[in-house]
Amino acid sequence: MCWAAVLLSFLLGQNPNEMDYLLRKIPDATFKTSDSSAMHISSWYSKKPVLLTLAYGRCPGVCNPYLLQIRDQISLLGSEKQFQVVVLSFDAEDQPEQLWRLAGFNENSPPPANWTFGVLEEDTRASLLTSLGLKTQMVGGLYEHNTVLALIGEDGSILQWIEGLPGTAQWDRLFKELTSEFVPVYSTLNNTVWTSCFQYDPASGTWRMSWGLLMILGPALITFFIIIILQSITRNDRTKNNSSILIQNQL
Amino acid sequence: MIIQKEVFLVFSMMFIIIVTVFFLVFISSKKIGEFQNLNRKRAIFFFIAFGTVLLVLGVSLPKSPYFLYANDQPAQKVFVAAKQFSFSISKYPIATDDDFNMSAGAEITVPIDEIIEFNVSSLDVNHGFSLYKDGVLQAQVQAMPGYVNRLRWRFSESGTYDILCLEYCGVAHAAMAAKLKVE
Amino acid sequence: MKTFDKKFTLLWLITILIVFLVAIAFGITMRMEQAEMVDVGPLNFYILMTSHGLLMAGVWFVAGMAGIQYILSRYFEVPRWGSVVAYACTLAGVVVLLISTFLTKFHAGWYFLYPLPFYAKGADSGPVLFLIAIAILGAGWLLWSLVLLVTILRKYTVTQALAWHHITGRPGPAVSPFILISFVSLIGVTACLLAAVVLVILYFIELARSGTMSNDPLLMKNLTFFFGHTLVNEMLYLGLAVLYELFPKMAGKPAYKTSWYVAISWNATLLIVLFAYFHHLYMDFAQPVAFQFIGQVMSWFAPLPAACVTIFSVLTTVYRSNMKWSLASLLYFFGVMFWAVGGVGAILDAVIANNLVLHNTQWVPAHFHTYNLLGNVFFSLAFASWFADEYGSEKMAPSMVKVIFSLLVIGGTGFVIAFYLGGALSVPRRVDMYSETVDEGISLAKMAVVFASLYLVGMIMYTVDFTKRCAGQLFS
Repeated sequence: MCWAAVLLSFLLGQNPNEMDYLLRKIPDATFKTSDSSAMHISSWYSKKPVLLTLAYGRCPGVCNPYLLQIRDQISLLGSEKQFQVVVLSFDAEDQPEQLWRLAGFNENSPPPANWTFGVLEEDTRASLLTSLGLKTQMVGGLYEHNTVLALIGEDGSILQWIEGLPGTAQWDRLFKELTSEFVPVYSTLNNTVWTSCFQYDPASGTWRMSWGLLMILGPALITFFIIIILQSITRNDRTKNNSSILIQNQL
Repeated sequence: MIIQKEVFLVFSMMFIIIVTVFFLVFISSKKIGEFQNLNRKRAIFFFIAFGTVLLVLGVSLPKSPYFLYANDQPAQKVFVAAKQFSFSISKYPIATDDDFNMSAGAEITVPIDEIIEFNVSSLDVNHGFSLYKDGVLQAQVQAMPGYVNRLRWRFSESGTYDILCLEYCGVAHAAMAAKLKVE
Repeated sequence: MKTFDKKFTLLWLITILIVFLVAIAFGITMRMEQAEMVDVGPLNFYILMTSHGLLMAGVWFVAGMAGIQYILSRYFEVPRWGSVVAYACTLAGVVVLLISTFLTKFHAGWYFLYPLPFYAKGADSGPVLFLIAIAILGAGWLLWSLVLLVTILRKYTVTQALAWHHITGRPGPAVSPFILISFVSLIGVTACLLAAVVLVILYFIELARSGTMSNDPLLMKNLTFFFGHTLVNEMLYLGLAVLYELFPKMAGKPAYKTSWYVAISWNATLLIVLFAYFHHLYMDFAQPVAFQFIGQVMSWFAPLPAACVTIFSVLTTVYRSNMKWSLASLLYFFGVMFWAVGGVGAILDAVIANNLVLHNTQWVPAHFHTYNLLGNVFFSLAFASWFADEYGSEKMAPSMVKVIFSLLVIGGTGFVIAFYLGGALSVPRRVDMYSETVDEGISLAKMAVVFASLYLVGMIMYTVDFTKRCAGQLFS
């Protein structure tokens, strides 16, 4: 079901652009943790970067493999203390412990200190979901939803935003940002721009050549063809004049 | 020595050499004679020029600013947005006109001897973001709408730096400036 | 020799000289404003800047083209209408341009960097008129260069005109360096004018669909400089083509032959010139680094074939030649010298690490004024002098030669040195006044005004003398 929702949004062309979310601030939502204390997200992101994602405990679909993959990838990185993973539930009926299981933790092997699980409080839930571009819909007592992974900077703004399961290149870029590796540029072009030489690839943080580049190559290519055409147009003149060229050269 | 002075020195030297050669040849034109060993001298001339070009490229390309402090961690991010005809400089991202107005005119201070990452963009036309200390240009980057260019820089001198717009952006371009404190 | 070609070339040259004087006056006014000697205000300053830039680029481009047209007409039958249409388009384009800048107050600079035309537009019709001016000029010149290309192709195949048989040693008709360089330059001119066409179309699409569609500033900047840089680069080569034809004869030497290295040089130049413009985008970190590196490599390789071969040829031609110097040969010889000097300034700026502190400082106008004001202009003035000596009523008086040449060289050198010093002192370009940070600019501007005025006096004397000697021919 969840998969269907993601696929559908993709097919309908409603896949939102990362640029719509970059650098936007998220609301400082509150959530309940397993020891029942209320926490602000800012209590984490003001200390270190936060990898924020949302899930819900009864999810029969994507949430479990999604969180497992995040856990796998983060264990590969090794520098776990530099950031905090925050997993929040948008389902008010959830208990934080339910979320643990989605990520492969349980009472015997509880999550380490750099993982935080919590259930969002009613008042700020909707605004947080909107700011992150997370769409949910109740169908038959279960939620259909997309998945979003966002990197939140120390001032609460979205530094990276990935919808769906991140690919290898997307993880690369995420880790680059987490370890402050230098990416000299990023694009904030909006979608009224209809052609571009280079497409900023949010997945890898690099530039790919795009068809707008043809506009730069175009003049040279057209010139090449014009020369060829002119050569064939003037063929008859050349044969006529060939004999007189030598004489004219001596002028 | 600062780069501008080095460049000017190299240029002056080359200027004198070129003018001298041309004048010597010009004076020689009063005499009659032939240029000896034309082909060999041409080949030597060309290979010296070719070698110089390769040498300069090999030395200078790795010094390009795109790799400045690329492997270090910046101590602070500074966001710069340009808009006709002022700069807005903030420690927080400036994405909209509201963000711009909020930090317009505010003076910020950055630490000395630390790597600062400037995130430079424009909200309207192309502008230039340049750092001047005592009238000497230290570094610059373009502020292009739709793109955020990141310049990493380490200030080795404390004091007030002048920020000038270095890309013609309209009628008040010359007056478009801001200040940055380094302590 | 056909009288039409002679008369029409004369018409071109007189028009060019007059427009040049006007454009110099614009330039001096700008420097006076910067020197705080007059107060025209920022808007008028940028209107003058926009007009000065486009007039200068345009006028010396058509001067090069007129030279090519004339020398070609000595060899072949060149269709007249190409030159005539280009003349009409140039006049019309200049008029529309001046209306857009002076009447509708368009002031986005001659290179109209996107999206500035929508902001620095003056009246709403400003950018439309300006783009129409660009379109008229572009269309006329494009047509002209195609006509000249056809003229060459009527005699030679593409590979012959590119002198490939001089490289491989295969049999074929002898191709003079003039034909080779003209052909190479005209191809480049066609390509950059087509880039202008694409640019203008993109602007018009955005104007027509205002608000709903916009262009990528990076793409537009690439197109702008592909057009602008390549145009001013190729116009220098147009002047050089004529130099290759006329200079050896002035020195009493046999005509230059197309040897294998000359052929290779200019074929290489054909390609290199198309990539050098990337150096205008060094400070745009959004441009992929590979392109930046191509920019620096190509900018450094550009002078190797064309400049080195030409400089070496000119020096060896003059060396112990026992030649009689005329204004034409002096201008050619020292034009090449200043071209080399400007080239050094250019490649120093084309190092990315240097560009970090030289980009958009006065170092930029310093180097391009050196090889325009003292290089390309000298080449075209040399052609005009040769033309006047050949067909004018009398030769230029020797004392006149000395006075005019000294004024142009001293005035021009002092003027560009003020710019070089400005660059070394971090003085920005394209500003109507200097803030306290860079107030050295004010005294440098004063120095520039003095020297530019000397140059202007020299040019006025040149124009008066030229018209006096040749105007009779026009109406004979």
